[in-house]
Amino acid sequence: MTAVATRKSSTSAVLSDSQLIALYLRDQDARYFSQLYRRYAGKVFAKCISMLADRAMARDATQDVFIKILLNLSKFTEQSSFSTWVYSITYNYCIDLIRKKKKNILIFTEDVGRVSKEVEVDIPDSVILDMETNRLEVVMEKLPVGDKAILNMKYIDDMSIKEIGDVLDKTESAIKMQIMRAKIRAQGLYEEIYGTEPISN
Amino acid sequence: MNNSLKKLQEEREAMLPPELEDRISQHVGTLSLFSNVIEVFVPNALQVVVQLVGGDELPCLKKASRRQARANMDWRTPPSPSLPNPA
Repeated sequence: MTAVATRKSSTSAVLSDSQLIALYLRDQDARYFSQLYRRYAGKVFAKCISMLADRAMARDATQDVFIKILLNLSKFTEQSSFSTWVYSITYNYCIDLIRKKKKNILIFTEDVGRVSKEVEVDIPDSVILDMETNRLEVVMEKLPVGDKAILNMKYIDDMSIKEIGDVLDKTESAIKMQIMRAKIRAQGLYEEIYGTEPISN
Repeated sequence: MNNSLKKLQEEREAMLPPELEDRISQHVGTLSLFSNVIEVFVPNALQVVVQLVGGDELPCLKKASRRQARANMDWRTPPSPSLPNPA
């Protein structure tokens, strides 16, 4: 690596996402995009595994998501943060992939129709957040893909209800309802699998 | 506050296959090359077609050639007579 290249890559490590995007679009230098990749690849891959529950599929999906990001980088408008934009592409890509693979699959719990209006009460976040990771993995695997996306956006990416609504093209009240239904469904699945064992570690 | 979802995410982040970066770098490289080729080739190819059907020089190329002409201007060339004489 030349001295200029070394300087360039060490400088790019301290640049913000917006600066890296602007520099990549101006210079078409792969090093700038590579820096963005290093920042987000792990997170995108983890989300793909969570949504698709298959390592090989997650690897291919991560590649496709980054190519999508690369091709649409000039369309990024900074209305949201770059991370939110990247994650929204990831979630929508995974949901579309599942839809294509299994035509009649249920995307959200509301589609299942198991949660009636009577049980729609506010349940604590600890139902999800305190679960032991191995058990949470099993429970999450059984949730519909849309529910997984919504729970990830809320509890991992710390996205606001409005941002989640924008990503999934739903109203804020629909998202609030969906989060609650996903929590109820997760709690129900936990009880189905582990009986009355306490959720907390 | 405990957050098992974040813990699970961190565990999965560590599972990122290292070969993926090379695969994506190849795509980035190909795309950069392709866009450079398009940038250089397309305006000139269009210019050839326009001239073949009897058209004039494309405005975008006209600007570029004028800019080039300015850049190549000999510094010894006297200023044009239309400029006001300082004396």
